[in-house]
Amino acid sequence: MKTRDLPLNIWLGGTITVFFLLCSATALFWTPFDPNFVDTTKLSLGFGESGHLLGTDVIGRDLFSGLLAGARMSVFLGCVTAAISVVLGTIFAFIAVGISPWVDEVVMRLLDVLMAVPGVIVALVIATVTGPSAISTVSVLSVFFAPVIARVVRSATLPILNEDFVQSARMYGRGTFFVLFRHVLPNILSILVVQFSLYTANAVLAESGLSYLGVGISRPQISWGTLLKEAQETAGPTTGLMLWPATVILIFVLGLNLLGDGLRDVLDPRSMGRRS
Amino acid sequence: MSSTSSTPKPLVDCQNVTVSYKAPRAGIFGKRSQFLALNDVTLRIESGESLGIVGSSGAGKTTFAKVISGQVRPSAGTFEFRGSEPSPKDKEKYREFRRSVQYVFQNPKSSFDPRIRIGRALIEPLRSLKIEGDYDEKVMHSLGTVGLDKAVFGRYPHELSGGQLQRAAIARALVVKPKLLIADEPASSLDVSIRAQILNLFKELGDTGDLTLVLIAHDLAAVAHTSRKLAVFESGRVVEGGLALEILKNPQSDAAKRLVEANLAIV
Amino acid sequence: MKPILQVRDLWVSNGRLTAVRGVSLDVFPGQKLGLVGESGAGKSMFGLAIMDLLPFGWAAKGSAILGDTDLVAMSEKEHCEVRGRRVAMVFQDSLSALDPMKRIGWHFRRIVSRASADQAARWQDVSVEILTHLGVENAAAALRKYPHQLSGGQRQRILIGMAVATKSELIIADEPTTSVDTAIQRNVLDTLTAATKKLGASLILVTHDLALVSNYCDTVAVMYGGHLVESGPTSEVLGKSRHPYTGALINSNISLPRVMEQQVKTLPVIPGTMPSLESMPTGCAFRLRCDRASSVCEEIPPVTTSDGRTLRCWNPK
Repeated sequence: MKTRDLPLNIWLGGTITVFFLLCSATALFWTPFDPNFVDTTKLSLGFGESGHLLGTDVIGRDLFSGLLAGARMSVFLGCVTAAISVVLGTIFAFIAVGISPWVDEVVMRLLDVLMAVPGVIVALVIATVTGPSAISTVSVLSVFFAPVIARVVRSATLPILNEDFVQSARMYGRGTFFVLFRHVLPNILSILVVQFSLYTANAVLAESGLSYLGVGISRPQISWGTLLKEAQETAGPTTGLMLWPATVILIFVLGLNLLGDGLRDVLDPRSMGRRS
Repeated sequence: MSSTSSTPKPLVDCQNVTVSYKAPRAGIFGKRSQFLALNDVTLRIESGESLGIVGSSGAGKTTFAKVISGQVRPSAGTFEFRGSEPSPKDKEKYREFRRSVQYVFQNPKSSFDPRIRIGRALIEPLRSLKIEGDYDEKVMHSLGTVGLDKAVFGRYPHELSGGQLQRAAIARALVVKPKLLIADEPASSLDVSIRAQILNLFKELGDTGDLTLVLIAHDLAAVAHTSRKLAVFESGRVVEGGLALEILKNPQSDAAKRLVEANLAIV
Repeated sequence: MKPILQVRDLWVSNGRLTAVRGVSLDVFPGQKLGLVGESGAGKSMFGLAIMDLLPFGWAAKGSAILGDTDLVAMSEKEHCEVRGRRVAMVFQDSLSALDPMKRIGWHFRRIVSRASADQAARWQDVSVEILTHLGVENAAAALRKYPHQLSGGQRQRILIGMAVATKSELIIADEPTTSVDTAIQRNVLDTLTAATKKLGASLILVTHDLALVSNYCDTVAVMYGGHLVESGPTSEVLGKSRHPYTGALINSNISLPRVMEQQVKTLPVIPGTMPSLESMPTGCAFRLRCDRASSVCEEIPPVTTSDGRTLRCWNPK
C-alpha cells in the first residue's frame, strides 16, 4: 500500500503520537529547568517571562518543564499499562478458548465480574494501602482494562480457530496452545496493535484522572494528572495552570485514537493478503 | 453395504457408528433434542480402494469423513483403523494414525495460514509428526507429484490461484506418505476449467493402488471419474454401496435415484 | 420483435480495474438468456450494472436501454423507480438477501404494495397465491416465519417469489442454485423458469454452469475476461461452438453420461487460469491459453455477427 494512500487518520494521529514520544524521550535527559525546583522569586510568571516558556506556577516551578516531565511519565505509564493489558487480555482469552468450553464460561464470567468493579474505588483502596505510586496505578489500570481486551481477542480468535488450516494443524498433531501461539497470534497481531494504541490513550486518561484525585502519581514524580491536581488546588480551574496539562492530554489522546482508528482501517483482514 | 473382500483386515472398519449432537435449544426453556449426524453406520474400506461418498447436504458425509480421520469421536459404535481403535492415550500409535490419515478440505483458501509460506506449511506436518529424512527434499518431491512448480515453495498463499492452492493442499497431505487420503469436495469451490485438473490428479493418485482414497462429492460425474466404489449416504445412514458405475447406471435406493435424476448434463 | 433490453458497448470499471469490456447484447421478450462465465469473467458485474447495484467505486459506461429508457444514464432516483418495478433480481445467497430480523411476510408486503396500489390491501392473499404456485407448502405459515427458519430451497423459492411479485419485465437471476443442494437444483430452476414464463418476463440467468444453460436457456452468451466472446441460440452454440474458449469450456464440463460411457482416463483441461483483473493481457483476453492464438490476437478482435450469432475472435473454429 503506497504511503499516499494512507488515510488522514494515520498521518495526523501518527504525527501527533510520534511528536509526543519524542518529547517524552527528550525529557528523559533534559528539561529546560528542574521541574521540581521551587523558586520563590519567580512566582506565577506569564508567557516567556525570565526564560520560562510557559511561565511558572504559584510556587515558582517552570510549567514547560513540568509538562515535559509529565509527558515522560504519562506516556510511559500509558504505554506500559496498555502493553500489560494487551498481554494479560490475550492470555486470558487464550486460556478461555484453549482449554474447554467450561473453562471458557468460568473465565469469561470472572472477567465480567472484574469489569463490574469500579476501577476508581479499587484504585483508592489500593492507594490507601500501599501508598499512591506508579506501580499501583499501572497495576490497577491493567487489571481494569485486561478483561475488555480479552473479550476483543476472544472474538477475533474464535473465527480463526474454525478455519481449515487450524483443523489441518490439529490433524497432524499440533496441540491447541501451539495453534494459538503459532497460527492465531500472528493473524490477530494487527488487532492487538490497534488495541495497544487505543488503550494507551485510555490509560493516559485514566491515570490523569487518578492522579488528579491524588491516588496516582504525586511529587516528586510528575504526571499530567498531578499538574491538574495542583492547578485545581492552587490557582483554580480557569487559569493557564490547568489549561496546559488539559490541552496536552487532549491532543495526545486524540492523536492516539486517530492512529488507532486509522490502523484499524488499514490493517483490516481484507488487506491481510486475502485478495479476492 | 460393505465390501465383501477376502482380505483379513480392512484399512478402515466402522461398525455401527453413531454420532449424535445436541441441537440448539428450541426456545429459552426448550429442550435440546438429539440430532443424529450418523445413525448406525457400518462401512469397511479396503486398502488401495478408491471410494466416493455422495448424498444430499446433511446426509452425514462430512461427519463420516471426520470420524475416520479422527476429528470426531463416535457417540456409539466402533471405528478401527488397521485393526485398532485410535486413541490419544497410546502416543506412538496415535502419531502413526495421524501420519497415516490425511485430509484435504473443500476451500483451499482457508486451508493455509495466510502468514506462512507454502514450503514452510508443507514442512509443518513432517516436523509435527517427527518424521525422519530431508524435509526440503520431501516437500519438493510432493510438489512435483501434484504438478506444482518448485518456485511455489517460497510463495505466500495469497499469491497462488485456487487451483494451485488446492494442489498445494494435496501436496501437504501427501508429504507424510499417508495410507488414507480423504478429500471433502476438493473441486467444488474451483472454477469449472480448473476442476478437471484436480479430479485428474485424484484419479491418478487413486489408480496407483498405494493410496486409499475417499472422495466426498455432490457432483456425481466427479465421483464416477475418480472412484471405483461408491457409498450413498442419506439422513445419517448408508443406503447403498458398491461399484460406482453400477450404482450410477442402475440406482436402487431412493436417494441414489434422486441424485442421478437431479444431475444435469449438457443436452 | 423489439428487444426489451438493448445493451450497447457496456463498460464497468472502478477507475483502476475493468470488469466488463464493451459488452453488447439484446434480450427479447420471453427470452431466457444464459450468461455464462467463470469467476472473474464479469458476468455478475454485468447483472449488477443493469440493476445499478454496483459496489462502491464502480461505474458503468455505455448504454443499456430497457424499453425506452437508458439505464446507464439514469439518476439514482430514476433507478429506484425502475428497480423492483421493471427489473428484478434473484440473488445468489438467499440468507443474506433477506433481512434476518424480519419475517417473510414483511418482505412480501413491501414488494406487493409497491407493485400495484390496489393490491396493497390484499397483499397477503397475493403473496400466498404466488408462493403456492412456486411450490412452497403452507405458504400462509411461511409468511410468518423468519428467514433462518426455512430451508435453503424454500428461501430460494421465496426470492423467486419476490422477484415475480414485482411484475417486472426482466428478471436477472445471479447464480440462483449455487448455494442450494444439487438435489433440488433442477426443482429451483423449474420453478424459476415457469414463474418467469407465467409472468411473461424475460430471464437473464447468470451462471458458470453450462449444463444449467443447456437445459433451461434458449440463448447463451459466454463471457471471458470481461468480453462477450460468443453468443447465440443455445443448441447451436453448444452444439457447434465457434470460439475456442466456448469449445474448451464445453469439453471441461464433466458430465455423468460422458464419464460413464467413455471411461475417460484424463479429463480435458484448459491450461493456465483466467487472468486476474490486475493482469489482463492486451487484445484478446483468452489468447494466452488458446491453442489457436496468433500474433493478430494481440489486438482486440471485433464483434462479428452471422445468422443470429455473435463472435469475438480472429481465429474461430
